Amino acid sequence: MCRKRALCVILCFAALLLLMGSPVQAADTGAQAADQEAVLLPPIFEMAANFVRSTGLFNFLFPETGHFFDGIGQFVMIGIGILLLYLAINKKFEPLLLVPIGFGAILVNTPVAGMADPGGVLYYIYTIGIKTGVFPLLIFMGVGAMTDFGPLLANPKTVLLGAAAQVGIFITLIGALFLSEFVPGIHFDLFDAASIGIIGGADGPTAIFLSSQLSPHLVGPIAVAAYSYMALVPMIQPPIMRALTTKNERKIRMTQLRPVGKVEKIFFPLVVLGLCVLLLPSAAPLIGFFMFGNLMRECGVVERLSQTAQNAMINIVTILLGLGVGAQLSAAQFLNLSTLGILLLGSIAFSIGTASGILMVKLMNLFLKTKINPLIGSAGVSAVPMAARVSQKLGMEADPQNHLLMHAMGPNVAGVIGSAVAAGVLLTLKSLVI
Amino acid sequence: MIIQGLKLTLLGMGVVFSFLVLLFVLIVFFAKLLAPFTKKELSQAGARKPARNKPRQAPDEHLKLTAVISAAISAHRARSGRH
Repeated sequence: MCRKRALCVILCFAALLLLMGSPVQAADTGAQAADQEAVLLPPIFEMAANFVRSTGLFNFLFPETGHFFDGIGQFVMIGIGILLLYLAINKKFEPLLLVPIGFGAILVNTPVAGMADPGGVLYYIYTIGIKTGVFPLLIFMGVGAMTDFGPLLANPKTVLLGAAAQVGIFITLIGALFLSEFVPGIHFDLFDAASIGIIGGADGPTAIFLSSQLSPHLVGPIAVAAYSYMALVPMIQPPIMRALTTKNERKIRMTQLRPVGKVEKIFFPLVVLGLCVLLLPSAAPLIGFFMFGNLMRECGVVERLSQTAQNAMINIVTILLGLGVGAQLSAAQFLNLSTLGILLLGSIAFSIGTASGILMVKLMNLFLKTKINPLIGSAGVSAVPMAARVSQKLGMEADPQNHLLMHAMGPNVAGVIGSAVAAGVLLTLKSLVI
Repeated sequence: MIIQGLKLTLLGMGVVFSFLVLLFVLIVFFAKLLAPFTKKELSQAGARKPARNKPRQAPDEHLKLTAVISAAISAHRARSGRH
């Protein structure tokens, strides 16, 4: 009896609720009614079907665009993102950059999420930081704050090695034009070729900056190629270095570097900036930020700013830069013949840069009384400090007492200036093209 | 197109080399110009170092050593006195 009564009460209550609901609806204005109708959910089966249609799995197999390969392409790109993460975590390939880039690649290829479409978070990171060139320049400032130009100032001759190694940039540029001329399916214009060539500068921020200014659609593959090959410097360079030098040349001892004063170190960034202002204003963003960072380091009165530039800020910007570059690794932009071409040309660029640096030392040795060890020539391809370490390692192989690290830092940092200057020249393309 | 690339290469390498050769000249010039400052700095640094190291460490070690030795001697005397 009791249970029946309770049931009755509940039923009555439900009926009352329904009755109360309908007059409220009736009293609503037309617009509100439409609002409520929009909120109403479709029948449960339709809901389930819609949900299935919004899953990643469904979109991989049946992408919105209708082209089967778009979905599979995204899937493959996520695989490439994971490969980059593997290389970074397991093989320690430039992990600071490749972890964010790899993760960005996975995020950007997540179907439906549209993180790189206008309105998506990666879109904003890319548009604000990379398209404008802000992030690579801030990184360059941090690199400047970390760079000690002492070895270069102590042995200024090595500045020429930094110039010689830039040959790689321009040979690669010609190579890119060659490929686009003779290989069907690859089309690079002059801007693209210039952006690909700069990979040979072995300098990540410079490469990203230049390609973001000249051919933004290639930023992703170029950054990946540049950082991958920088990580591969210890494998690419030694065979070339051994092939181009004799054992006796590798044994050449270098005299100890003279100590460099603080005043000299403070003047140096201003001198470089002055040269840049007078001769090559187009390189002013790169060289300006680089030298600004270095002046903060050397002047000794803004220790806090210098510390921030070389630690906190460069770290924050590296995270964002990596994600932004990863955002450019969409299937449409990456999975094509051009990317293969860029990877191929990148390795050529590094090899030629290495070789030309060494050959330049050999040329200089013909005229110099105190000979230079040709092993430090290869350090002219920026890639600080990896390339200098390779010189040190090969020097120690030939003669365990021969320490080349500090000597190789000279051409190494000169290479950074050299590639920034080369980038400056290539940036003038914009105004040169008729 | 390739001809354009060659033109760009000539200009580019020309600028890179002349920029860095000029930089070389300027570095040498400034090193000469600023040599007095560098010398002063180095002599100051050179004067500071021995001034810090020698007088401080030597007496410290001396004091310790004498303390240890005298302690040992007195201990020995005390012992030999008892026996």
